[in-house]
Amino acid sequence: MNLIGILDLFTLLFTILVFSIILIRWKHQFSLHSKVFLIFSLSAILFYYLSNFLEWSGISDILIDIEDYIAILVPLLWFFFLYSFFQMLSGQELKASEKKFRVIAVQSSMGIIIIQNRKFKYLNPAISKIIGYSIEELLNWNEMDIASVIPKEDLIFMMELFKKGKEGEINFTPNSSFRTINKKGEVKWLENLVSIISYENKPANLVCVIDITDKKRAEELIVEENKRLLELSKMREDIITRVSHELKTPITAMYGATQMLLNQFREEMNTEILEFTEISHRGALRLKKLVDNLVDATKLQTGKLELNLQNEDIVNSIKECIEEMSYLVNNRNLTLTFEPSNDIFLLIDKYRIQQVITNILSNAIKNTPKGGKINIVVFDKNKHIDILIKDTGVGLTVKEQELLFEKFGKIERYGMDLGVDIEGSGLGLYISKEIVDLHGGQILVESEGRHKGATFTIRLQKN
Amino acid sequence: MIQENELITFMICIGVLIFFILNYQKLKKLSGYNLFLTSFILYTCAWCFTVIEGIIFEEVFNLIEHICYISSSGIMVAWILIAFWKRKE
Repeated sequence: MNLIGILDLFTLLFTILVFSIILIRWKHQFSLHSKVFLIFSLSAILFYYLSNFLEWSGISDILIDIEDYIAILVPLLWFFFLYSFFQMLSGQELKASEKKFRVIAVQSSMGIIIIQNRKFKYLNPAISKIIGYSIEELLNWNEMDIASVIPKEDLIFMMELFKKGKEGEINFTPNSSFRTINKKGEVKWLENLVSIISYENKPANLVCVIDITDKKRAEELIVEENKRLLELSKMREDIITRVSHELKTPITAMYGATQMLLNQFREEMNTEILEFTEISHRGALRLKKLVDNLVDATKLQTGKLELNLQNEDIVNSIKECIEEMSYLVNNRNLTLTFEPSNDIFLLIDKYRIQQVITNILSNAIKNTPKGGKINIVVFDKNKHIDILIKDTGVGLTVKEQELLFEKFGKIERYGMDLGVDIEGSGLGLYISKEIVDLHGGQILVESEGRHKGATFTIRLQKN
Repeated sequence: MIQENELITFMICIGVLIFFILNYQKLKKLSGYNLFLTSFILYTCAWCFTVIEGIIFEEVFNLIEHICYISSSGIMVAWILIAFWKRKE
């Protein structure tokens, strides 16, 4: 036997081995089609190698006539083997995909419905859980049955929706919700998303439904609570407005009377009467300020505060405020300096701007310990002017600065032993800020912290 | 001398090989796909040498052709062991 004959013998033996393995492991992974084509192609190749072996080992030429035809079949059979293998793979992938989507549809908590020709074609178990009817019952429902579980007002909306969907006007309706009545007679709120799909080669509606009953109940509760809070807020404002107005007249009378007593009969009063009269006067003054602030705050909140704008000299207005507060400055042994610039005329409501300056200045006086300094500077900038009121007082922490302009955002300093006056309603800076805002300006505050003083800047726009 | 049937078989092998390569991503899902492909390439090469031996160096190319056959069938054994002996997952 020559070399080629030996090679062909081994080739033949290998092929027989391959053939045997396939037969032994016949039940293995391939599909029947694949295995049949594999056997055919291996049979053909086995035949071809056998013919080769017989020819080259010089045993026989008996198969040589059909060898050529068999050889052509070999690659073709390999092709069919692989083609059927690929088909098997596609089938497996399709099955896996179907399984995945079946799991999603069956186990989803979202109800999935396919509606075709106004009848349910498919319903997942979630729908049955939501509305209480079994899938078998629902599949037999006609249009009237569907309509019977939807309240009239929602039904009109739903019919419109499906009509539009059918006509192809919309294929997606975000956040449309409707009510339905379940088997127990309970009202359920459902949210649905509708899209047009092709089902069994015909157009159909795919409706995804979510039970939003709890969400709707929560929303209703929030709306109710909100309404109640608004009513309460309005009631509180009404009470403040009415009480403020009711208090204003007697307090003004008390204040005026004590002031008149002090002005005209001071000499005739003995020490004890004078002391009581002064206490009454101070008390009346504090009450008057509080009531005035309450009235102003209410006016600001309801938008009833109107500005009387006139061209005024701001430097002169500051001087008047300083004069008014000089008694308090002296009383607390403070040094107040003002660096006046040239006259600056601005279109302002003098009374209200003076109210702002007085308020910030009185705060600076109250919050600066005895012997401290207060400095007022006016900067004339291009488009605005800045009035800086700088003190060497107890200063403001970051948290206090956040509270500063809040309504009733009084910074509590009672019992902190800071050596300052702790009186106040917590409305002054709120009113000041609102007044400056109405003038198109702003109030800025700077403080490096406790005992490091504070600087308030009133910025007013030039016209 | 080139024989018609040898050329036809070779051309069919090339066609099938192109089909395999075009479907390489799918082919990858076949256990031991590299061995299967190598075995078929060697089989195609054997037919290529069969055609060439009809033109020049008949004896040399004939020997190479038969070496290709034995290599192809040897690799086929390896492939079949992987594809059919591997535990089904």
